[in-house]
Amino acid sequence: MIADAMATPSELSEFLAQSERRAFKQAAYAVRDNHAALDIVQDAMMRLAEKYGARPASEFPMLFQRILQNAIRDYYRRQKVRNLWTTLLSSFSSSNDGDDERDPLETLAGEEDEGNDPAVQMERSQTLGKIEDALQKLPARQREAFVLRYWQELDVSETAAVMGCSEGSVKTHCSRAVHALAASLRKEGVEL
Amino acid sequence: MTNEQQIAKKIVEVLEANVDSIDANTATRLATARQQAVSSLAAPKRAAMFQPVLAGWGHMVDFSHHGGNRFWLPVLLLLAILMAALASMTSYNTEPIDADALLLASDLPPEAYADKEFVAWLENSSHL
Repeated sequence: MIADAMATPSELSEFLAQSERRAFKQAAYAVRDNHAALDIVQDAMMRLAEKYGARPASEFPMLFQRILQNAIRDYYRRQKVRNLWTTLLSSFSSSNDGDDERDPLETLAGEEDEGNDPAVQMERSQTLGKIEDALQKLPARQREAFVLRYWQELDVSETAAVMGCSEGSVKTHCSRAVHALAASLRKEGVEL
Repeated sequence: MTNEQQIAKKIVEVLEANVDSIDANTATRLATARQQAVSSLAAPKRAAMFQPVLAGWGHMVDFSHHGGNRFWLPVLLLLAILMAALASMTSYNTEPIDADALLLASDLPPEAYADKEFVAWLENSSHL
């Protein structure tokens, strides 16, 4: 049996160019922090190249998703530890430096649209914002399953492999995610 | 397509349409990260380009190859033993030649070295 050929640098570059923005968005929805999301995607890219660069390019989508999801979970774990220490330390000090506060102007600037029709852009932006909110409110495993299965278009077995769970669990997570999203959007007046 | 899949598809369409709307700084950082990742893949490949030169013989000296050690280690050990034996034989053979040359070139007759009294005298005279 002849094994698939090792990926070339141009194949890796092409794959990353197609995936990097979507990966960034996924990470940003998951961790709710653009800087952290960027770090996660950067690390995932390097890990893919260094550890799996010798694999055929056809395996990149699944491998990259696995690395990305693991990196997101690692981030959650680190945040959990960090929050624990923050809570412990804040009990000794009542000061609040406000580092994590968002600048409303910065948020508005980031969400600014560039379309020609302001009304259409406004409506689209509002719909997107509601979908993003609904996606962020999902439990982590449901969001992960939804993103992998429907956005990344992995099949059930691939999604199960990336998530490290059974195919039945993937189906359950996906179903619950879609129902939760639909209910949340309906509540916000978004017609799908 | 089920109703569930249709809803998922519509949500994904909205998300997908927004994928490219990221700020310039983020886009630049992503592009830089991509280039670094690609160059880290390209570097080992350049080194690997030299491997075909040894394609004919390289596999024979590749000790990491499965089962390679089983064949080459005994051969190397045998070679080392042969080399050591040859070296020792050569050094052993030169000794008598040197001894003969010394005896012949010496002022003393060869019998003198077998004479115990002469040896005793030699030892006593060296103490003096």
